[in-house]
Amino acid sequence: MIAMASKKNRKVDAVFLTLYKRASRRMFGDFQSERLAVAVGEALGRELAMGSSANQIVQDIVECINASGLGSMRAEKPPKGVERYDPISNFYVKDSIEAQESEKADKPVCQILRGIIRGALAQVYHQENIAVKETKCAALGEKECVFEAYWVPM
Amino acid sequence: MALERVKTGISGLDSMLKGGIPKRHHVLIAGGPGTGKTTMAMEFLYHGAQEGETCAFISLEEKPERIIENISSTFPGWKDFKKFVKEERIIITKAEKWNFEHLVDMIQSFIDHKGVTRLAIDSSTLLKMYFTSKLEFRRKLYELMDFLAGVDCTMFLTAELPTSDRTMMRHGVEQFVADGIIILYNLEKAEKRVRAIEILKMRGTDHARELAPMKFSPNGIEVFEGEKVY
Repeated sequence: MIAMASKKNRKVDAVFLTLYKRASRRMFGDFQSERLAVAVGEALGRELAMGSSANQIVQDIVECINASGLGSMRAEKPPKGVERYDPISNFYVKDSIEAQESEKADKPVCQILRGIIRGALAQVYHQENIAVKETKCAALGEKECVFEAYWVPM
Repeated sequence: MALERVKTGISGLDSMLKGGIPKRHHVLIAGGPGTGKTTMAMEFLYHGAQEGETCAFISLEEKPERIIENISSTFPGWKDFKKFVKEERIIITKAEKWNFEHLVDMIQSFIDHKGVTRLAIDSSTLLKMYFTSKLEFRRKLYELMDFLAGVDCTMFLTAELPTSDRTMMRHGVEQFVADGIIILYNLEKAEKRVRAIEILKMRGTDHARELAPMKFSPNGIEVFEGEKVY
């Protein structure tokens, strides 16, 4: 849907997303609604990765997120010496609408974004030992949300 | 409506379970060290793969290559085991230590995108160490089980017991959350160790209540229902 939204230059509606996430929390509780958001994100990420390649995927994720309106994203390799295991990329997101919709958070809240990144990477690399952690979240008072994507050692 | 069951395929165990494990149940395989928990969980997946299902084994500790080698040497009769692994009919992977979110991400991915219908997590004893309190572990495990209850997947979860002594058995958090509990023993009998199995609980179905002897053969685990252990 986001891949399609990107192609047609249509935005994800912030009001709709806010209401949807709040309703899902009310109906299913925190854990289930978080899993639902990750599942939606992962499905979108996997769709986005179709037709992409390992060389292109980070750039494709950034372009799609920026076109979708979910936030303003940039990606770069973590600075040397601070990487977690074998890094794939760090993703930095300003104005995440998931973080903005959150009323009172005590942990990172951008599950759709996290799901998109993980789904796209898992699909393109055909591997599941990829972890994506939201290490900073604007919902917790940070300037921007930060996602670290890395290989889990086997 | 008839209860849908998943056959474990383990010789003698399905008969003890009156036809198999109720579908979508979460079963705890508990036992002391060396009782065969990992092996039994893998055999459950192996028979699923033989039936054409996609199965996943998530290890929290051991490397996948080591698990594959151990299983291959324990059951040399499983000629197609490595083929199943190669074809991803049995996916064997390792979750990141102390990262519950990654574990759940992988489970969700397997079910939603790989069509996994049989899942094994090895082990809940290590999973417990992901959390700082028993309450948090219980809550997260319950949430995970609740989430999995809504999907078409039957799960084996292994748990390490500190002893094989039946009288010394302690009940962990996971035993209260699971739908079923199978206990594996390595009991002492006339200066020898004898493997045995007991179904302690299985919600929604009748099951054998007696301890039964069990052995590892080259083709898999064999359970001898109705035979005496002592």
